Amino acid sequence: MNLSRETQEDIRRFASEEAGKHLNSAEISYFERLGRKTGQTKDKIIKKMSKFKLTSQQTMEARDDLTLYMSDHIADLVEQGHTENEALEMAKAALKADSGSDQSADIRDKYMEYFQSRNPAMDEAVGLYYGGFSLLGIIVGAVAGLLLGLNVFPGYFCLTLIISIVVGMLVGVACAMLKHASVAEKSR
Amino acid sequence: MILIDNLSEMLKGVLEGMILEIIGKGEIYGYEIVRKLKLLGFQDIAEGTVYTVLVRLERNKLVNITKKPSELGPPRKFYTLNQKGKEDLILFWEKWSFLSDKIEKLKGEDSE
Repeated sequence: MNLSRETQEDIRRFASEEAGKHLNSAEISYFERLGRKTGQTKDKIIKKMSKFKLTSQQTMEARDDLTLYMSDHIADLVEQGHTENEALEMAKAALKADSGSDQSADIRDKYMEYFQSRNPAMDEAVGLYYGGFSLLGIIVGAVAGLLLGLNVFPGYFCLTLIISIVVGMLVGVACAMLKHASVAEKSR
Repeated sequence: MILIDNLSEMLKGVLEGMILEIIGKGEIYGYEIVRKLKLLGFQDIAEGTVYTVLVRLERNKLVNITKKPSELGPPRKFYTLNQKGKEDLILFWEKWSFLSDKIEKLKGEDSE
């Protein structure tokens, strides 16, 4: 089947852009397998991969290969009743190297990195900070409330006590949040 | 022929073996593999995924490549299995037999 000159040019341009990415993607899968064994994430694998530059001959071959593959796909789509432009856009979407599967792999890697970096001891310490500071705030608030209620606002003793406890607890939680932020910053 | 949608997740693990099997049946070029898979009933097969698997097979030296002139300009690559590819294919079918056997057993246990 003969495709128009414009479509052929478009295919060649697309293949030039994407062929190298497909080659890298195939290579990543290999390094990914190695990486999984050593507990490395995709970022580290990509850094390692930068040592392996593709030769111009390999890229040319890959471009020609993708050009033919894409032309075959477009020809099939046209035979199925799509216009040449529609077929071209569909083929571009189908053969783009940075596909959804890559995105999901990225998200998976980020999740993995996040969960691998979790430290149960630190989580426990943060929880204790919140508990400790809140308790301390309540105690200080209660003592302050008692003193203020008895000496300054004896007519509003209960109200003064409740307000002082609540304020004390809020100050305690605020202190715990500041401590949490400081711990999180240090652990980065 | 039964058409089942959304098989892509399940196919990920076996697509390479399926493509090796198709190549093992005789010399074939890239897009013809997609056509064969579609004829088999895998209508939703992602062309991009098949292409990436082919590139990987080539990079891992599992296939021999013969270039033949094409009507579209650049030479077309035709794939055949080499010794390493044949060994990989045998290994794939062994794994498949193991897996399908266990799954069938599991299914049997459930229906009992």
